Amino acid sequence: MSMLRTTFRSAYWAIAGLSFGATVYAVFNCTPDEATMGTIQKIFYFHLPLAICTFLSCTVAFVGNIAYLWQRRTKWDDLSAAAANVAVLLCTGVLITGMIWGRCAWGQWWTWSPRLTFSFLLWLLYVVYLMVRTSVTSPQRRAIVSAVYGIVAFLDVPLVYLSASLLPDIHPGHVQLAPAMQLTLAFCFIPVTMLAAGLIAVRFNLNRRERLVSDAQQSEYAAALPFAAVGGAV
Amino acid sequence: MNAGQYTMVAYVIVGVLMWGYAAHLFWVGRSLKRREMRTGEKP
Repeated sequence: MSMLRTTFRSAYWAIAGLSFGATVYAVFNCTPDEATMGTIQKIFYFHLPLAICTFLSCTVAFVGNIAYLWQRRTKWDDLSAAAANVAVLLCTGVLITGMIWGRCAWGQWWTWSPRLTFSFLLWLLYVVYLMVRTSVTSPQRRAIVSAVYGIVAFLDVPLVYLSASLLPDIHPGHVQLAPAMQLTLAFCFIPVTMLAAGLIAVRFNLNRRERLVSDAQQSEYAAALPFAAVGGAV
Repeated sequence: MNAGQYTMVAYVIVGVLMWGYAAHLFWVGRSLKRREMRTGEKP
C-alpha cells in the first residue's frame, strides 16, 4: 500500500512537471501572438489559471473553516491552513504576472482599479490569516479565531470575480480568443490545477503530521513534569 | 526590456514560486520525518 502510494505520488509530480514544461513550450512555440498586444499577451495563459486556482483554494479554505466550526475536528483546521497557504502563493503569482502585463499593456505597473484593488485586498487578507494563525498559541483558540476570520476573508472572492463586470474597470472582464489560443489556455489549466491541488494535499499532510508530533512532544513533557516538580521540591 | 523579455521573466517567476514552494514542502517533510523518529510517531 505504501509502495503504491509512493508510486502514485511520484507519477503525479512527474506528470505535473512534464505538463508544466510542455505548456510553457506550447505557449512560446505553438501559439500565435495576439494581434494588438503581441507577445505580452502570452502571460494571460498562466495568469488566468492562477487566478481561478486562487479562487478554488480560497473556497477550499472557506469550506474547511465552516466545517471546523460545525464539527470541531482538527483535520478541517489543517485543511484550511493548507489551502490558505497555497491561496497566498497563487495570488502572489496572479499579482506579479498582472503587474508585468500592466507594465507593457497599460504603461504602468499598478493602478487602483476595482479588480486590482480587490485582488490585492484578497492577498492581504490571506497573508493576515496566516499571521493570525502564528500569533495565537493555543491550538483550539487558533482554530476558532482563524475559522471565523477565514469566513470573513472569503467574502472578498466574489468581489474580485464580479468587480470587472459590475464596475467600470481597466481590467478586461471578458476575453475573446482564437481556437488555437483557447486550446493552449485549456492545456495551461492542467499543470496549474495539478500543482495547486498537489501542494494543498502535501501541505495538509504535513500539517496533520506536525500536529501529531507536537501533541506527542507535549505529552512527553507532561509525563516528565511530575518528576521534575518532585525533584525541584526535594 | 522588451515585451518578450517581460513575458519570459513572468514565466520564470511563476515557475520559481510554484516549484520553489513544492521543494520547500519536500524539505519540511524530510525534517519532520526526523522529528517523528525522535518522538516515535509513525511517519
